[in-house]
Amino acid sequence: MIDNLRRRGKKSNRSFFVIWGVILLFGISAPFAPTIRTHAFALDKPQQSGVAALYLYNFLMFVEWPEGTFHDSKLMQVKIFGNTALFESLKPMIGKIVRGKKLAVTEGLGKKDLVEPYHVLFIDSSKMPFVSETLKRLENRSILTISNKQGFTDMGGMVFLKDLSSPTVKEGHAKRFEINLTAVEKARLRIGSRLLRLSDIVYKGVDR
Amino acid sequence: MKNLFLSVLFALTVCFLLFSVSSPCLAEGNSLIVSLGSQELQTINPAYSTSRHVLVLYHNWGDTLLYRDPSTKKIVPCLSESFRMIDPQTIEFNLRKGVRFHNGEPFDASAVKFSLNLLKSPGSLVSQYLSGFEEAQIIDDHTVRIKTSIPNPTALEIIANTLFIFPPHYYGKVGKEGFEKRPVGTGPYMFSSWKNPQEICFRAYPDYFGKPKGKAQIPLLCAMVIPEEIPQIQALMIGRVDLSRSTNALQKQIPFLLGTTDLKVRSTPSLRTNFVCMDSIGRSGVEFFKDKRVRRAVNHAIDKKQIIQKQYLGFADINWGVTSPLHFGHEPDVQKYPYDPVKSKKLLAEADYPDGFTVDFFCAGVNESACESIAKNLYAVGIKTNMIWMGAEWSEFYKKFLRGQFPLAFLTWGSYSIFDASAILNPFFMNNAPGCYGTTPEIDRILKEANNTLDQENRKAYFSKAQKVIAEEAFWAPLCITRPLSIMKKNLNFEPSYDEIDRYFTATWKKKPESKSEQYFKEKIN
Repeated sequence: MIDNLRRRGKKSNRSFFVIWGVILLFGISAPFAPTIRTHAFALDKPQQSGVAALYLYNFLMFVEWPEGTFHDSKLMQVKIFGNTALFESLKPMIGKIVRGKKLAVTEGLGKKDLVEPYHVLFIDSSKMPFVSETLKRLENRSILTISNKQGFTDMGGMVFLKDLSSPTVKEGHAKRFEINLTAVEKARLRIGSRLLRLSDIVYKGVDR
Repeated sequence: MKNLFLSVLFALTVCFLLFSVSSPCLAEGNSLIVSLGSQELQTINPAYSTSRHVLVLYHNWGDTLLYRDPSTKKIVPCLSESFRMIDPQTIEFNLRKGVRFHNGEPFDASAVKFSLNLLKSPGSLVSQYLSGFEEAQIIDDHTVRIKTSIPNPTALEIIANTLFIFPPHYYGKVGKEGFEKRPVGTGPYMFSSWKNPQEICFRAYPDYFGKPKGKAQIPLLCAMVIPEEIPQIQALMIGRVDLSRSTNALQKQIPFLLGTTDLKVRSTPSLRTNFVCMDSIGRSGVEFFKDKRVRRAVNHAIDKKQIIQKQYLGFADINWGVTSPLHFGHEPDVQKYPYDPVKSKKLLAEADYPDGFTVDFFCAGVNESACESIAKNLYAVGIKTNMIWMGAEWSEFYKKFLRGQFPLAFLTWGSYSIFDASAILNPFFMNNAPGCYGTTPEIDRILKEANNTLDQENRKAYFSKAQKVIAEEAFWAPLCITRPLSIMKKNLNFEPSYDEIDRYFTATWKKKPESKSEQYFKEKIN
């Protein structure tokens, strides 16, 4: 009888400790748990391309192209290669004035695009087989090359857009891009400080 | 085994309930998340900060004896029920009865006395505004008299904006550091938690007394700092934040936002002036700007119109003087220095700097692109600048500025939302002011005279004279009065105020239109 009671006592003691153990653990970890809003920030595709469009717009705003590169062109030209969602996100901006020029955004990359002047070329990660050849053809031209493909700067590209998921406060300090200053300088471009502050800066050879 | 399982289940249920009560549920509709901008949130205590967002937050979690009603622009009682002038140097306040701080401590006359003493004490960054306030005399628990050393024409505005009210017992118990961790006020919102050093959350204070501010409409308020401009926009785009606090730095993002996102932009005229300050008295050890011709050369070098058009996208108005048209005593008829780089070079040559010179140029709290444009304009006339951008570090910037360390600085001033020319003239042009980088005995005398009279016509005349001399001496190169922007979700009802004090407690979410199925069921029920 006494043994039974003792056993029951032990059991209820165990339950007591389990309950409070779990509560305590939860209590300790709760402040570190992300808020509900943060949870919801796995970005969907349109949001990702929207954010990529924001970055692209800011590259147009804060990159200096060498004087005379575009002569008296009244257009600020962007080519999007392989990313229709990004093109769609930028579409409402077409015809708007950016730094005194009309913004022109086109999708796809034809043979003539490798000789005609434009400001920015975005190459999607799905088009990687074409990257080396494209970059080689664009060599010595003042075209800012951007991609969302890891390793783009190793191939001589200028800007690698990192994973575009949400900025928590911590991410507010995080680096958004990787910028290959060797390639940028070779193209005689100058990237504004507010973009550089958001970037990991790398120096990678452009000899291919 | 079954018992163990049930125990764990019970514990998890308790935890879930606890968590849902303690962790702010940040679903839209229940909460408002505000991006404060890029300046670091180094303190939440308004006594020790000159950051605008600390002031803004205070007026959401704290109260003052008086309040500026944004709809009528009048100063009305808030923590007081009424007030009257006993004599030109004494105002008597009848305090609101039954008000309690968020921790339950009663608000009474001792809180007013304690707060004034704290705000006037060494180290307080608002003491410059309260230096003319001698003391708070307790008449009884709910009556207090505030005495000024001389008749003070802006006393009511200063009391409304900067006489922050602290709970004496709690503050005495926890001290400055404890208060920092857990601020306690009487306002519509009450402190909830620090999510991290740059994000603070508040809950609506259920026992808030209401008028004139009104109770908080949205139950939860979180305010966060995102240090850079582009991530701030990203956070708005993806719904991480709902509202970007009044800013004078995001203008260049507006075409993109309006073109591609579901956000709206509001702007208001303001007191906020952006200007280049030159060290005319050599406090920083740099002598160039002691010469009036050099200061005038800087003024002529800056292409204000183009900077306003290109960098502020028109969300600013050109300014030739020191004050905003919204300041009482604003004088528009001052000496102007139109953009004239040839004249600028000539003046530099006359001052023995035909090849210009090199100088450090400090910027913070302003439009970064405008700062770069000014540097380019100066370079064009031969003044090479080492531009030092202290964007997020306003507090550090301002401390250094007050210590006299800047030969050349581009800064912004919102006059602590005090609509009187003295709020910008006194801190920068009175001889003993720590922000003074240039004045004359005449200006100092005129400003003292203006401070010593309650006659508004006389004050106006004094301010006019002072502004004319300041412009003639070219101590500053004024650029513009900005129209700060608030960027927010389209379904948020919120209007920024012309005094740049965002009243988040007035914000509401628009109700979503009923879906067809909801309408159908409503009809069925009816």
